[in-house]
Amino acid sequence: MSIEIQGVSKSYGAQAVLKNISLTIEAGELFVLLGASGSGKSTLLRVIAGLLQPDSGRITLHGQDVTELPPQKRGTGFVFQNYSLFRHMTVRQNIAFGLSIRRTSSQEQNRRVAELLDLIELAELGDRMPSQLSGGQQQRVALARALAYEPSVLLLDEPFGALDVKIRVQLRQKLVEIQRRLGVTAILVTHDQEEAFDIADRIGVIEQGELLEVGTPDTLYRAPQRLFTAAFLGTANLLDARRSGESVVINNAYLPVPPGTPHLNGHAIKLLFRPEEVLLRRAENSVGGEAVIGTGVIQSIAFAQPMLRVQVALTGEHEGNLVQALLTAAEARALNLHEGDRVLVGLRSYHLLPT
Amino acid sequence: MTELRLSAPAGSERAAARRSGRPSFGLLGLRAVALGYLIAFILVPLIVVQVQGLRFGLAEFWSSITRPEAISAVTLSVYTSAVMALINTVIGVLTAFVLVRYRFPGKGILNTLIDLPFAIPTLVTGVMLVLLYGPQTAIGSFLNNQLGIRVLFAVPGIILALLVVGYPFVIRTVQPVLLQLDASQTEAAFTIGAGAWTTFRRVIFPAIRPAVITGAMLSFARSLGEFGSVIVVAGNIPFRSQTGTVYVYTQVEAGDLQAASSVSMVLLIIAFIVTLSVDWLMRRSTHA
Repeated sequence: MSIEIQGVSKSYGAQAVLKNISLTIEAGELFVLLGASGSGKSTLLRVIAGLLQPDSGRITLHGQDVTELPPQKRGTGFVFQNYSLFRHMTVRQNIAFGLSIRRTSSQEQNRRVAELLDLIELAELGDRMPSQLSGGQQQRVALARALAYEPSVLLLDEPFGALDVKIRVQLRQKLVEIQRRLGVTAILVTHDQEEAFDIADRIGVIEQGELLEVGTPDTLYRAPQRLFTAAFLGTANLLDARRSGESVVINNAYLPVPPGTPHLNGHAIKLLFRPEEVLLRRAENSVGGEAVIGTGVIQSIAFAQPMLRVQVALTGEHEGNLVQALLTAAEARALNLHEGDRVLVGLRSYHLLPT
Repeated sequence: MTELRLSAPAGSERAAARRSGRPSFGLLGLRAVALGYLIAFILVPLIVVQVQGLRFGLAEFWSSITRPEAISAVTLSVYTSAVMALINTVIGVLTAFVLVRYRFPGKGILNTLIDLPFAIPTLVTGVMLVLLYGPQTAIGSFLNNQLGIRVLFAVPGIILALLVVGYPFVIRTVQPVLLQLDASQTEAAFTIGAGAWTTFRRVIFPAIRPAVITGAMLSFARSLGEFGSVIVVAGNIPFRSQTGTVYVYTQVEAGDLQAASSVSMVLLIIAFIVTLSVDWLMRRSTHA
């Protein structure tokens, strides 16, 4: 493993910012720490870089315990949200800074800088000053500067946060490409879940200083273990349910328990299903055999390109609950749905989690 | 950096005014007041001094400023001001750094105290120094008897007085630039591997250098013209503690206005050169 965080805690006065966080990141992995602002994700990144000292816990990089080492001795590459380029140095000098501190020969420096300028596709801008570059270009230079001395790990603190959407998407693809090519272990901190899903090998969800859950984007989205994760990532339909043996009981309907679900007998549980897993049928031509959870009335239909977002108010036991459904245009046309229509609500796939 | 942002809109406004044709009467009046004031209070006295200094021709001017006493006095002013500027630059950068980067009790009060030398009459500064370093005081007699250093009526006294007078300049020019300098620049340098000293030398200092030089030159120019505290602390002993301004004062008292004007001109020219260099430096740093 490449980065090992063991029981790290940090408080500012009475306020705990990191609560006993343990996490292992594999070599070559692109790990995304996802959380709202103030969740402690940036604090954790700064603790790893040595810019902050934890109150307790250990940080190990490539098998070496670095907890007591100052940031200079850790060899991490850090990319800041506001680029933090040295304003009085050219692009070339910025990238070469880490090499010149390590007393690399100027020949080697030039070779390495040229290589990195190629990598970030700014070969012709090497002699510009940072103030002459756009935000996206500056952040690419900051990335090159952090990669120049072949850091042990790459740490990125909301690196695309200050850029507009189009540049952001381009740049994160570029980052993934560079990270894959160099095979450097990286942790990226963000509050943008779309960004996290787009680039992460694994995501760690952090909330109020607690690392709630770690998993691949797919697992966290489809089968989260925590209610917070389920609600935080994407749109979630959550309904109270009850488990009875190999069945889930919801609204007098019995659904089979999905395979791999932990033993939750007797617990109050929630049924999670994503909008795109919802099947709607017209109530009058009811069909059996599907995972139907009940009936409802269509509240609204809106265009959410390229799909249609349909809100259904459940009736019966779950009266008052709204179900969000995403339908393809073809599905919607075939059903000829209108507001106020009664529909059967079925599920293609669902997940159970403890409350 | 700030200047760049300020100067760009100003330039475009001027361009816009030119394009829109005649400026309004209000704008004309504003300019007349500003320029009139500058002419009446700065330019006219400057011209009068030049006229007076050169009244009996260049030869007379030259002989006035090459009198041994005059040379000694101007040299002493330049020398003491330069030493002061050097000391206050180092201390000033340090103080600005401490004020910007650290929190400590009494910081607000210290920050206010720094401006005090701008406000206290320098004559009072001189009196304070006499009370502190006079031969009858503990410090004064210790320095004199144990270390053989005479403070009053000597060069150390002049430098002490100038240190107080020139204290705020470097701090007040460097402080805002340091404040503007993002803490993440330091952090970036740290993570890249630079130690504290390397970070200061290669990251922080280059960013504040124009401000440091500006502050140093302003304090130098200010000290060159210092009179009140110097005459109290150093007296008026030719060849020993007589500075340029005190020499000018002596000549005025003696009724030799031509000699007074001539040496004044020399002091003015030095101050003018320093001010011009500051201006040039500022402009250069904004273009970098």
